[in-house]
Amino acid sequence: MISKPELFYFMRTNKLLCFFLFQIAFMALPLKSIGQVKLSFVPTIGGAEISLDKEYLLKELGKVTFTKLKFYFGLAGDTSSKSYFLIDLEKKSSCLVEFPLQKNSLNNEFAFWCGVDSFTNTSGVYMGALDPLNGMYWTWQSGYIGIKLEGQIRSMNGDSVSFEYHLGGYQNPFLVCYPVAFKNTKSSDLLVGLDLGRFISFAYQNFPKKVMTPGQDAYLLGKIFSESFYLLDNEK
Amino acid sequence: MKNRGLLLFIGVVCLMSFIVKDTYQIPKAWPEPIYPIGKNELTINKVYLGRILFYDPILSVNHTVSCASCHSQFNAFTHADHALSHGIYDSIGTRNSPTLMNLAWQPYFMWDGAINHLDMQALAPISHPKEMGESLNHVLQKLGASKRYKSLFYKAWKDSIPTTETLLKSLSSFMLTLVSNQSKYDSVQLGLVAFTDQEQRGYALFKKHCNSCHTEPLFTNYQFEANGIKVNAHLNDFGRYAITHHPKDSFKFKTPTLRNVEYSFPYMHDGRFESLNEVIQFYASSSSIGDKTKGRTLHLDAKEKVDLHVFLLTLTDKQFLFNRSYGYPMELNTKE
Repeated sequence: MISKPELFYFMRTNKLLCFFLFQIAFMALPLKSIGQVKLSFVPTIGGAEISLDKEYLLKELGKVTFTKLKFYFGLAGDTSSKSYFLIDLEKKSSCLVEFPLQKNSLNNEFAFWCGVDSFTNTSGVYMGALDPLNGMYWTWQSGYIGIKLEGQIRSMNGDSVSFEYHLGGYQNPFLVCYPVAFKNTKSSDLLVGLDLGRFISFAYQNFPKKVMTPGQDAYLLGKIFSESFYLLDNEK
Repeated sequence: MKNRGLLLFIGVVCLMSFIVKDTYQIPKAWPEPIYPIGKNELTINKVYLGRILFYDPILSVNHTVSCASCHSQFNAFTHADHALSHGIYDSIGTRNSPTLMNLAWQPYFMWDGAINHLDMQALAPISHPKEMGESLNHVLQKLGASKRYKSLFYKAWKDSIPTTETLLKSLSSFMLTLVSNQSKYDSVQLGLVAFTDQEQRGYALFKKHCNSCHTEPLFTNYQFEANGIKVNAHLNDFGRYAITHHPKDSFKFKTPTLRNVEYSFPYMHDGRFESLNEVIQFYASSSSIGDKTKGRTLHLDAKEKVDLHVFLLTLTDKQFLFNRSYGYPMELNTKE
């Protein structure tokens, strides 16, 4: 065991070597300790967090209940299968994702994409988040369902109507894979809201109640969904 | 000395067997395959597992329908008993089941190209309520509980627990071996034999009238074409349009290969024609008004129709149709 005085003596007499050792340690450090981004997705209505299978009041529509919310979250600029996460509100733990710091994060920017890119959609079978077992792959045709939102709306007069949005598509012009970016993020520990109130209000009033095939409706609804993400003020 | 020679011979044979096992043979003058063989290298154990799975009705919800139910080898891996596919509980689908051969070269699967990769193809019939009506999750559970499959998966993948990837890639491995390239036509191309005069006349007619869609050497261009057949009012099948939603794709279907066409009846996406004669008659009639055939009805006299028919018979590959390594695996007859 080396003593403190011996260590200082070693450092004084081997300044150059110590300089390089510190450099190596410094380069390695961000990869371990500050190199991770933590991101929590929080679905909201009117800014308040929501859960599945509970009723929430929406002024325009009535009472809305979400029974399923799943979507793919991908790291921007990366098309390898490892870059995908499946967010499933039924599994709370999936709403918190961690991944290595991205280059653009260093500039206080953070970007991801919502949906699955064309290349991944046409490259055969994947495991992990992209395993078709997760119920996010169409079987009657190829392609991932990038966003799945199901539930029902009970109007003020008591009528109940269910909605099913299975949004995906990998062929242009109806590719459902949208970039989402936030600028000036203050930390690498982010709370990202998903305004489902805004989305369902627009979707319910302007689109069919069931959209489950790729095409123009899925393309437009996917865009609106991706625009419903926002950075919550209470960044950790 | 004699022993050393014998050992050397055995060594060379062993080495050759390893090379043959893991190399995908591309027939001479054929294009490069589209399937990424490097991502799923074929081995004897993977192919064998895929073959067992292909013939085992365990993939269906009530254990009555296997892949082979609609894809029989003697029919060039399509079916003969129905115009449309026949699934569990005597369900009848909406399309004729396609042939299975030379799949490594195929960019799209299904008549409308709904499936874009061979590895994902099996998911469609497994989960279709009128085919196998099963869920992927339940299939994996059943296979994982089977002693036979635990052993087969271990031999093929060094893991006895089946996954989506190993299940689908095993099926692909077997299907990739279904290569048909030993017809008389192929022997003629290699200069080993010659066409008869009648076959030669038929070949000339084929090149003039059919080759633009049924392009050599695979006898398909893998494109989607509207050949002018009338829409079946009961099926109301819009073909490729259902996938792309583009009006130009209305009533277009993937051009099928003509290899082994003698055995791949019934014909067309809805199996409406039972014989080759009917098909040739259709193209020679004025009802053929598709994009490429529009205004180009085949004006064939009776003799030319026979010549064309005779040429099409040269695409029969009996080594493919009766190859035992593609057939029903006897292991399925034994109890676990």
